[in-house]
Amino acid sequence: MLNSRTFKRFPIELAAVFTVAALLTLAAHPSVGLAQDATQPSSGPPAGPYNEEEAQGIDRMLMCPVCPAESIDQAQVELARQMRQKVRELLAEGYTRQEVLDYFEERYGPKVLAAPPKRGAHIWAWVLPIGSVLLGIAIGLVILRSMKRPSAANQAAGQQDDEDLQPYLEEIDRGLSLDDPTAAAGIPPTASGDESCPPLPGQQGGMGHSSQGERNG
Amino acid sequence: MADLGAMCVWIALALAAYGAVGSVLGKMRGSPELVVSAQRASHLTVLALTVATLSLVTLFINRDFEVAYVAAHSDIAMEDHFTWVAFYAGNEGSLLYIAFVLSIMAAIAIWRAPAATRETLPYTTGVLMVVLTFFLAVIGFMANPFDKLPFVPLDGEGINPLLTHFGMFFHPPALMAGLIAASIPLAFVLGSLIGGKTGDQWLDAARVWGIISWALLACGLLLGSWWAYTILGWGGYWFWDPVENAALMPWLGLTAFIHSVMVQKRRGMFRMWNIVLINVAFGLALYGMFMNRGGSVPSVHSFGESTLGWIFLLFMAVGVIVPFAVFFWRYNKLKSDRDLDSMLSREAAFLINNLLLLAIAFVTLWGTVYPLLSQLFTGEEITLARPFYDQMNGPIFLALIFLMGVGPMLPWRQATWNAVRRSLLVPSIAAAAVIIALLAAGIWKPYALAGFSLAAMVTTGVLQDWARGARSTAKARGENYATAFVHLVWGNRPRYGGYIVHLAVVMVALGVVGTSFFNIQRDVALAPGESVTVHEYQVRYLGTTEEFKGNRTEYLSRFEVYKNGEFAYLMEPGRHFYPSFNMASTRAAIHSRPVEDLYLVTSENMGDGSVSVRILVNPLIWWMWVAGPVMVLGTLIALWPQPARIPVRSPSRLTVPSPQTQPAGPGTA
Repeated sequence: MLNSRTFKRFPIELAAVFTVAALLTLAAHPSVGLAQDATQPSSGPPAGPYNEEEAQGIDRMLMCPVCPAESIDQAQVELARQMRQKVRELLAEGYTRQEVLDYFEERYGPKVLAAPPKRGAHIWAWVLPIGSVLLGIAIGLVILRSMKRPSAANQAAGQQDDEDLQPYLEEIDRGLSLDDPTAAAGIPPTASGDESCPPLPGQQGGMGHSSQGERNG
Repeated sequence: MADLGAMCVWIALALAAYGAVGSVLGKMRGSPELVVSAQRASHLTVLALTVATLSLVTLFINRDFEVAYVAAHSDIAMEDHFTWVAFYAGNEGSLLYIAFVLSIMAAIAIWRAPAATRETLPYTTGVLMVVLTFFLAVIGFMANPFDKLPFVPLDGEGINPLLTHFGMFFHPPALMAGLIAASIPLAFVLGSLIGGKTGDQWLDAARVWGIISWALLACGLLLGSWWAYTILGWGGYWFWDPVENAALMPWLGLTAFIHSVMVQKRRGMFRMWNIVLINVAFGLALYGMFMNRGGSVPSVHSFGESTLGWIFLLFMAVGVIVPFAVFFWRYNKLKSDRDLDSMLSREAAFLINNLLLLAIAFVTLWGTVYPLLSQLFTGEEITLARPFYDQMNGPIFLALIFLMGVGPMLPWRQATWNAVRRSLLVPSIAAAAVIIALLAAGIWKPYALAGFSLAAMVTTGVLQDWARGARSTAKARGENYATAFVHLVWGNRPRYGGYIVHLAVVMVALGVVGTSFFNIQRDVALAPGESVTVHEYQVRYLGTTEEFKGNRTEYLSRFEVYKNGEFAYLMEPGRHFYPSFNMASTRAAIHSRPVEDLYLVTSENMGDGSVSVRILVNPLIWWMWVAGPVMVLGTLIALWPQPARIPVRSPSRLTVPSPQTQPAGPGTA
């Protein structure tokens, strides 16, 4: 059976950082991306020599040069209409998504792209926030970990907390844990409110020892 | 009337300035009379600003075009009820509105201040009055809505047609009120710190006002999305527009704050972190106001071009630097009196939630400033729009929803693996079942799979918690389940109100995932009598009627919708063309159902009676609009005053930690 010791061997911090990193990588990968990146060739019948869904995806990646902060998919001015038309013409001529985007970038400058390409000088637009977020989360978790008290203090302070907090905690969770055996045992009620197998003192001690060992090692 | 309004603004400015200086000086010099008089002065700003506000309303009702602001934002043809909207259609009026709201909120906050904050209340009053003084000074000297024109124009320029929508009656006022309300929790924190009270004295006041500010911003954001959905005519609701972002960022900061503050309330931890959070949230709220009123980034919200940018930037700098300076001044006294017991605990989950929320706020902030940086340093103009935010923030939002499912299931202090397994078993099964069902239905999009399964996980988690809680309450009290459930929720309102808000967030997530990954869009031109098939709908265009109404031409197009060959309903999207603005505002026709919306919007009416129409099928977006009321309900439950039957830990214990609880660094182990 899994117990707290098993869990200990798999630091939750690392797991969290890796999960976030994996998700961010996933997002940054052009073939997965969100809606406008969805390059699945067709999930509906193609409405002609080009794929309308693909065209709409490209529409959302191009900004209307004459409107404030609107993509050509949103904008209702004549220029946006013409650009949408051009996207479909180019696709019908066999252009790929990237070639269509390049075509417009050549004519209107990089400002026309709703987001800069993940290469060249503007790679920083993507890399820097990802890096900062990961760094921030890592630092946060390190600080959180350093807040963990050593086991001896843990025990003593834990007792103290329980005595002081007991009436308060009982009151807060009253609606939940009227018949909660843990309330009588002097262990604060748990979130789910009906925790019927409270941590045994021995278990807690074990956990404390293991974390101490880890720290010394 | 204009003179009366202007005079009241000046009186309010004098009162606010006196309130700021008087309360701080009175406190420092130990003169209670001065403190009381300054407090009364700050209450009187409400009266002065009420008169000023009513004056401006009267000027609008009378269409007094001698007043520049009235001439610029209304005309004779405007219906009277749009006065409400015209009031804040430009900078001057919205600043007056902000000042008015701030004076009212400040008065209530000072009047209802909890006993723990009484001693430092003069400093809190001082902080609030400094903020109010700033806004009133800007109104008085730079953007006075009562300024007169040298002549009286025959008619005004009229109200911006995009603003003549039901959503506009609530979206901007809610957002502006939410942004300015963020200054109240900050004022309580800052006041306590300046007064040397470095414990939890500010906690309850800051939590309540933090939630109020948060809820106002949330309502504003949802109403804004709804407005965009029905009126902007492209079928979406959110575009990571710089001004949308400006309101989202403080909302994220406050979301972090109102979660983390519960840890301080329950466990006495994270005190410093909470102070940092509210400082950040306030800074972001100021940034939001800066972007709104004189921002430097192009946006669909550029209704009020203004030169106020620099002043707001300066105030923003002060508003960020001063609170942090006070924080570092008191830094050594602020240590929390408890340490973390385990990484597998609700405290830890709350902190990770905070980090993720701040991560989204940071990415969003980066997205709004990077184009400016790029232009400044490389001279190259680039755009960071929706694809950037979707790709960067999408995964973090998913991680947040995951945490929303796990966090509330974890107990405080320390969870055992067994307990976690017990409470997460059913939600995990639900999540897995959803994934399998979707895969079986042929849906392979990874984001959609993740989104739906996490939604299922959070929902089952909350329902399971309710069911278990209701069962044990019912057993203990011998009540039936329904009564027991009501008692359960009512017995711990902050927690169960929070769960209801979580369900609302799940609803929003359903809408976002549905429309982002499964929407169908067709742009077609139809002549009368022609029809087009989209998804399972056959849409047949009948024709368009044209009506001239004062300041606009209203086009109303009629479409018959058939489902499986049978007539289902009639839809009538409209377009209002305003010649004086050379601008059309669309009125989309939306047939809304929980499964999907059918959305019709006309983009052009041709001379021959044919029409360009965009037809959208937006799955699950209905849930997003239902989420609004659910969220308000949850917030109200969470905020409903808890009678004093919960004993608050004695203050002495909070400020003077006993030796056992003195934090010991890991190195001493």
